[in-house]
Amino acid sequence: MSLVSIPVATTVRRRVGTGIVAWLGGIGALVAVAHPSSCPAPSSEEALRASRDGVAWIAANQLADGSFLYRYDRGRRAVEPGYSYARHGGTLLALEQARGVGISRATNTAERAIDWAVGELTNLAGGRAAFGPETGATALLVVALVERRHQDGVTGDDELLDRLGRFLAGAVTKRGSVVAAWDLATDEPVQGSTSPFFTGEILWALARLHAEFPRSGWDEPARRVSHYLVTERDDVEGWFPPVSDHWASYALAEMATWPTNAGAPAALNEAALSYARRQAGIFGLQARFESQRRPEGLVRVTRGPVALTSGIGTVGEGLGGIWRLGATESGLALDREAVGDRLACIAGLLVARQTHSDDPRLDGAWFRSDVTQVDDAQHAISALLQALPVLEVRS
Amino acid sequence: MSLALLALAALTVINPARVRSALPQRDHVLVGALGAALAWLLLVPTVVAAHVLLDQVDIAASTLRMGVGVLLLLQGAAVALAAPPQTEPGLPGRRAALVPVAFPVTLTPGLGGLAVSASFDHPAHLALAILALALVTIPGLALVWSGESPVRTRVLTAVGRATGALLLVSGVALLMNGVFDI
Repeated sequence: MSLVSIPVATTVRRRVGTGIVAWLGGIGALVAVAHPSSCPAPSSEEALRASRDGVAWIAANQLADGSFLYRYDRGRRAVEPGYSYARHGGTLLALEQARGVGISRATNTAERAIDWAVGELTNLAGGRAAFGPETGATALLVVALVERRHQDGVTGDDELLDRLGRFLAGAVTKRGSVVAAWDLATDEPVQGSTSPFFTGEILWALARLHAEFPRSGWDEPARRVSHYLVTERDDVEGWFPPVSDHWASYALAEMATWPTNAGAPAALNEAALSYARRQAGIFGLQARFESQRRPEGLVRVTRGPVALTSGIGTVGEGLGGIWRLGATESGLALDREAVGDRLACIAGLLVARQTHSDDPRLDGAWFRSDVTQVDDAQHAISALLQALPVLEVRS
Repeated sequence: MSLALLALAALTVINPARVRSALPQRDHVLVGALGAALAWLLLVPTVVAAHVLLDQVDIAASTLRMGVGVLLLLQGAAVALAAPPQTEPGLPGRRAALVPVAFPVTLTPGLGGLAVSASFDHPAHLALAILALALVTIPGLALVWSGESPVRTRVLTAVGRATGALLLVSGVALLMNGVFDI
């Protein structure tokens, strides 16, 4: 080694060392953003069992009048106060969906819950009926009743569906936005009231009504709401980041199955499909992020605590709608396999996070921070059921 | 990640104008070609093994793309702020192709991350072909940009910084691509 080469070799080492440090920093930055996922892959039997257990929790804790146990704190062993008509309607939907896959315990529970809901209806002028002042609650009651109609073929509720539908159609503005709250005493809309979810809920309800009763004209308000929702809802109502709208996902999948009428425009145009693609991205991002979370360790710090089960469930429901839409709309141009992957991942998270116990207050529920709410079970059950076709194909 | 985005990201993360600043005056075309070839050869096992490795740790391709997007943003910011790399210190003669040309100037964390991410979105041979084309710009620029003068150095620095700005754009594009993918 020459004397001249000594300082050169040393500085070359330093340069290489600096490069290695840059690589270590780069790897650190990459790992900080791209955490590994944890997606336990459940079988369709496991997902079905988790749905059945969830239904059993709802049934075991249903109140004598047909309403549901709304919120329970297992730490304090206390039933928390509160109730939501919208969540009653949503839970009813989950029960009817569960009936559709043969979960028999859902039947009686749903019937009692429907009786309770019918008892809470407010009859309004013009042959309209509302399930509470939140318009979204009426919409979810409609989709649940249509789900029951699918299961049983019973047409006894058709007149009721018409009255509920009339109320919903009246809540749609000329622009296509929906009024979120209705003053039932004065039978007037609460001006300026908005909700991130009611637009999608009402769209789905109207879309379902048109699918069931194609000659009743429900498609006209549904198209208005659809156009508003997919083109301007988030901007006009100031939802940022854009609403992760699982109800819209259900609705678009429903509209894709509308009967085709000669001369009628296609149910879904490019704007709707573009919106569905954006929603798929939002659901996918949420699914990936949630699957990276861990209950402890460094990742608990970098990713935060696990999300509410209701939120995770809505992501699964949203993905389920997009997955079905992809089957009927070739123009969607989405990687349906990837959608299925995320949906299966959500199902795996829900199966893994369900509580099992001898205590009927706990068994089959999903807790976070010791608290469970009926919409946790509602959305988890619905998401698990949406995942079944995907999991069955993979089994 | 589309092929066009991969090509843009590869070209801007390699940044031939900056690499040109690190080439020696003698044999700069040959050293540039050797450095680019070495860098590419080191990327081959990375691209081929990436799929197996990342399948083991279960990182979604879209999530990885977000991470690489952030990496490119950091590297782009560093390029915008830092002075261009110099020839010295480095190995003497043609061995400069290894240090500093191949490493650390060309084989940056951003290029490594991009190669891994590209291998998820495209067949390995296609990803490697795009990376090779981007690396060919190193000897290509050395061929057309010879001779030293203060003006030429300033122009080269400006082109390097402009490419760094485009790297920021590539980083944002990759990040958004990962965010809004499924």
